[in-house]
Amino acid sequence: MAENEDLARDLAAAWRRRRPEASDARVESLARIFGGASRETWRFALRETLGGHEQVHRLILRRDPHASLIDTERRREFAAYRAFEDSDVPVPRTWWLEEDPAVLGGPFFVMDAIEGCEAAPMKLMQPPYLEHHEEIARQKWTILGRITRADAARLGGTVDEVDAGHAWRRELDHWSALVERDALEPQPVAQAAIRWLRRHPPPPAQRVSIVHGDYRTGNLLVAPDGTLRAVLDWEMVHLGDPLEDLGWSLNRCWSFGDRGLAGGIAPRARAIAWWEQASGLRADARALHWWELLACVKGQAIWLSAARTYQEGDGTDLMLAFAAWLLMNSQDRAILELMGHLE
Amino acid sequence: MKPGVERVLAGIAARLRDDAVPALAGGFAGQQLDRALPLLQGAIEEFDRAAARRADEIRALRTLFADAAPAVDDARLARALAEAAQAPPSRADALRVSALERTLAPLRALLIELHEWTETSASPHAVRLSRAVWAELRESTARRRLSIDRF
Repeated sequence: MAENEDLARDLAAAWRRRRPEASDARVESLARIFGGASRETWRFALRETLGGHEQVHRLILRRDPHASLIDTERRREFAAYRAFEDSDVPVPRTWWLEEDPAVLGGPFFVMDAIEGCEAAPMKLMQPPYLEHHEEIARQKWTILGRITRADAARLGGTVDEVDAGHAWRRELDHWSALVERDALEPQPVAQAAIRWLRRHPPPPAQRVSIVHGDYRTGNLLVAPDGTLRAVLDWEMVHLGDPLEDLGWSLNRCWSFGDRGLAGGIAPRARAIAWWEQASGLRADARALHWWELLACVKGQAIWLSAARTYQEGDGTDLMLAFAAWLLMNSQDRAILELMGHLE
Repeated sequence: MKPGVERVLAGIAARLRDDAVPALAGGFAGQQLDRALPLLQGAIEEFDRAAARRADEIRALRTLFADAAPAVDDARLARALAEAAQAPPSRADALRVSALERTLAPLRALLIELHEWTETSASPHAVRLSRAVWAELRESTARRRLSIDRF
């Protein structure tokens, strides 16, 4: 509790420095919430007086932990939220980014809380969300299609440029290097996939677009009436082939349950059709297969990194162990299925 | 006889699920404990089979390597396969999971090499061994599978 009180005090002080036009800023009801292992996520209310009127903001603080599931650049994530504010891709409104770790013990940013919604996949598989799955899915893949149309310049130079013909190679090089670096034991299934991906490169990207990087049901905030209120967790945003996000969204590890639905909520063909309609692009079967297999390698790289971080004591967040235990073998099975060797 | 490890872990999981998690009422600590429940379930399943599945995999890989060694036309790889196919004398601690993992890791590395070799040759031997490698990879994921797996 002392840590919470210290954080609330420091956060309020930072807020006062940031908004000198307001007075009496106080942080209330600060509580850490479960928001993945790449950033600490805290919910709080900020009470302040502005122009003689007291106002309350319901906010989220995202602070870098000592060890995370994914090494990411918070400036890039912040830029992505900013890029889509007031667009047809719903995101929370951001307040400010602070990269000086001295302020709160780690870089952080603050954004609006969107209340009354759910992101936990297992809860989204149950009532009242269950009856809205088709509508949630339609929004999910339509919004993903819209992301592909967004002007990449909105990210303001926080991401590297990439050529349409080489986006695949950059991703494969990056994730296969992480598999090599972080595996605690040899990975014959992932290595077989990596070799196949190198031997069978996909066609050039139809366009180079903003890629969310972790577009899955668990990163969507959904209201109980099925309205998709926000796309979260832009830590891995970059420029690349739009099929990368589509392939990741179709990863079997996100199927949840026995029905084999894409993201646990829609038949695969419908998901692809919604995406094609919104993006104006075609999901060529051969190219999409390549990107789905790449998604498996990428997933395995992330789970292997989580496993190593937890095993070596560099992180104690149970999410690290959770990801490794629930997903590593599943990811291998997904690779075998995509390569035609599961059954 | 004492209560078994699985029984004790299951008891701890039940107390966490029925008492601790509801008492923490959805807070961060409760959500962390909620994540611990499937991990405990996985540990319960893994405890009994941990040594057996690793020993099974070691045996399967050695059998595969013994079959592959005479068919591989890369002399260095063939020699490595033949050597790996020979089981070293067992020691008193050979059934510890850590010891089995130390034995298994180089065998899995050699499996990658063998798999790669099968991809460079169109010979009937390579085609047959490729099928055998894929079958072992499929079997290895079956051995590792837990009820908590996502897929």
